[in-house]
Amino acid sequence: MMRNYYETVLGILILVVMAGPTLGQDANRGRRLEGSWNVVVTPRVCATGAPITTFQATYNYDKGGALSAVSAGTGSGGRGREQHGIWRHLSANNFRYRIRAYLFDAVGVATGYQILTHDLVMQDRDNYTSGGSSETFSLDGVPTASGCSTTIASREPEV
Amino acid sequence: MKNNLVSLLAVLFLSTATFAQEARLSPGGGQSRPHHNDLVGTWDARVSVRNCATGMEILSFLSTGNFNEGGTFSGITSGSSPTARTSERGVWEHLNGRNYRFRFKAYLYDPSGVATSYQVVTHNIRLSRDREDYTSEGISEVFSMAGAPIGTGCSTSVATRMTID
Repeated sequence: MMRNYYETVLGILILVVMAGPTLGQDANRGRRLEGSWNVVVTPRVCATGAPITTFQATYNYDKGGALSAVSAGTGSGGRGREQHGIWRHLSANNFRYRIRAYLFDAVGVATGYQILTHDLVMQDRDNYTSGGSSETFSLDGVPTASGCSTTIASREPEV
Repeated sequence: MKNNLVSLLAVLFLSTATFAQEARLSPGGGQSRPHHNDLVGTWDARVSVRNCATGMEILSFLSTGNFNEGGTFSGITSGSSPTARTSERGVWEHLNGRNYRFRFKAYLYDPSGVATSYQVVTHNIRLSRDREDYTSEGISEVFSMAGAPIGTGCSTSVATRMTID
């Protein structure tokens, strides 16, 4: 009986050890998004997918899961040009990120904030596409608007 | 025979423990991290500018900051017009236990876009036990572009960690 017990535990441990390299590989794959990316953002009509406008942005996906970005987008009402947020690896080539931008009117008074959540797919080490939604809130946290957008990105070359 | 089995189990256990330590979830995946890195992440804060003498709140606004692995900090705020003040760049460090400190700098501009001064904010942070919230307090110092002190102020903040589903 004891021998059966030991054999069972041994079998379980062998399976766990064999799974170890796989876990390590997935962790390395999750870090492939790290770096600085040149992004083209296309806000779209959620119902039809029709593009509304496009603008450029640069996103930094930092080690540890932080994201910071700057955008050339203007939009109406003075869209925030700087964003901060987080990113995570979901599986294989799939990632998700969420960013926040503060919005200002024409005279520089803050009017609200926007939260953007996108699902991202890496086509290869140097290219990805993403799509998702945005939600706009007043400074008191009251929802005021929502939208959709997609992006196409290419990695900033190493110096 | 029994001793051989016990030895083999011990070796396998150690191997498993090593893999468990080295195999990390992807960044932002929420695994347990070393204590000194518990602050790492993105935080949404409400900042209260206060009268240094009385502690009374003068005004408050929202800010978002990234405490990055390696000790750098960057932040954005709704408290100033983007044309009047840049975003924030700085550093953070773990002091002890759940206590941290950060310092950042932002450049200030006049209405014609000329840089006039810079602001340095230094805060002490107390992280909550569940690592999902923190409170902070500290000072703000403004200097001319030549480094001469112009003014000081005080502020506190309450922050919540940004999460993703």
